[in-house]
Amino acid sequence: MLAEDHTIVRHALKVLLESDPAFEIVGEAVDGLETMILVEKLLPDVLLVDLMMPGLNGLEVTRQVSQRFPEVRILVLSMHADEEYVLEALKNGTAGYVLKESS
Amino acid sequence: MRAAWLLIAAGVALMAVRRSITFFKIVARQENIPPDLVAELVALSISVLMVAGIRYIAPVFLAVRQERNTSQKLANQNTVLAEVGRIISSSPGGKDVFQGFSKEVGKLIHFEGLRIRVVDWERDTFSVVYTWGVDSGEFQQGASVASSDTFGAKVLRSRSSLLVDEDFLEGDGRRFPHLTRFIATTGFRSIMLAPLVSRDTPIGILSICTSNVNAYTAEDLRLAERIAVQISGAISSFDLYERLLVSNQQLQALSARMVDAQEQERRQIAKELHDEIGQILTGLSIKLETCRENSGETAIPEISHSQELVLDLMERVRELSLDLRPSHLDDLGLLPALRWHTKRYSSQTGVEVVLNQSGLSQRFPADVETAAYRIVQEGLTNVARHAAVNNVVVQVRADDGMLNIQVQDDGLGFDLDEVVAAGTGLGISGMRERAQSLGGRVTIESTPGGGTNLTATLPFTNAPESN
Repeated sequence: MLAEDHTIVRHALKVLLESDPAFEIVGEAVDGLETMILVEKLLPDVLLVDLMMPGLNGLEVTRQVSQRFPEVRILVLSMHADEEYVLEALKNGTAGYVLKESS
Repeated sequence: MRAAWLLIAAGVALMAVRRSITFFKIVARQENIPPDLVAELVALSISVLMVAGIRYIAPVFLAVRQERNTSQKLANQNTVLAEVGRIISSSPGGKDVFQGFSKEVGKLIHFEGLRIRVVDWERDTFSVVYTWGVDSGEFQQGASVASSDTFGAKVLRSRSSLLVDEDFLEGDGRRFPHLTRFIATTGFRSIMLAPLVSRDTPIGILSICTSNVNAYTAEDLRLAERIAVQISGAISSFDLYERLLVSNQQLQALSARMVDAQEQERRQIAKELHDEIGQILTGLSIKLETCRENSGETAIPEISHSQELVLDLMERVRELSLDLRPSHLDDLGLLPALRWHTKRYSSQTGVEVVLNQSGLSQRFPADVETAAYRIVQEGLTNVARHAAVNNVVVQVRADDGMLNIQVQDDGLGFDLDEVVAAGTGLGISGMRERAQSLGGRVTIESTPGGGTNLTATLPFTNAPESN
């Protein structure tokens, strides 16, 4: 499942991931609250979440999802390479941290 | 009231005496008493009456007249004091007011000299804010005298008015050299001194002087006290007004500088957007156009290069955005933001930062976090620009509702007054404004050659939410 507020980035990610048959995009959310609702409904294997989102930001989403749905693996997508962000994300129960500039 | 009763009593007495005389005459005629004797008795009665008149009736008339005089005088005083009040309230301050003032006072009290002095407790001096009829040397307007040896200081400390007359000049007065010089210079022989008190704090002295000997009475002194009350109100309201003017001017200067700074910042961002990002985007557009025309293998290097450009673009946008406001501050809080900033600062400037903290592993109100971050940022920027050092120590401690910030270097230092006077201290006044708007304060201690120590305190009230 994808959680990303920027349409163009979300679209690009979807195209990129769906080009590999191992992945299936089960849902897309555009803000933190929608992400929480969809995760509860869909219980995806993996949640790819943008760090910066309106409403609930990615860090908060990560914290809540890892507490309430520990079976959902979380990958954080971020443009911040600073350790402050990475540490915070890992503290909140992230399985992986992906920089947006990597492809 | 007493006068009225005496008048009625006198009237009744007069009627009683007249009736007695008539009665006496009738009885005398019936009893054949010789008319000579009657005349003598009548004369006696009249003289008794006259004595009674002088004894009882005259004081009544005198009292009535005195009462009329007193009430006339009081009415006069009230009119003058009301006029004095009007003069004060109709003007924002200055010499004109005191001039109108002394003219009105002259209608009530005879004087040849009038002075208003204001005390400066910090410097322990008196300065003459207004003088009329006293214009020589140390007594003229604008003069400033150490208050400790003056007679006025004594009046001010005791907070009670004082009458200087011949007895005083020959006695206690000799102990005050300033007073002796004043008397010798001006030739005045009688002086009334009344303390000026505002909000329970002595602020100055009103002196009223004349060359007449023993000219003033206790009643005059009470009047001088009443006038002093009016002047006190005037001076403290002028003082407030002046402070208001000054802070208003500071505010205007600050907002002008803020507008300038904002415009400069916009110019910088616009230039960055156009020169850096705009150029890269143009290049990228051309690359993509080339890719469209050259399909297949030949396009691959162009695409790779385009991707490099995009990554460069992303980095520049990120830097630009972080320069404006680091997202760390909102997402992670003050401490991560400070750690990030000091690391970035060191790599950009080569100045090593030691960051000491305690109590920062919590979130503070957003405005406090922003202020604290900006104050440290500005302090560090100043160190890099002006201090010429390789090390700086930043301490941020949170305890008991107070955030204490310190940025300390042992670099070149500067003359703070000079910087502020030159009007180039936007960073400093910006820091102050930020702190003040939160009820905190910024202190900068710096001496040329002796390093700079910036301290700031920011109170925070609401319970910090844990993160």
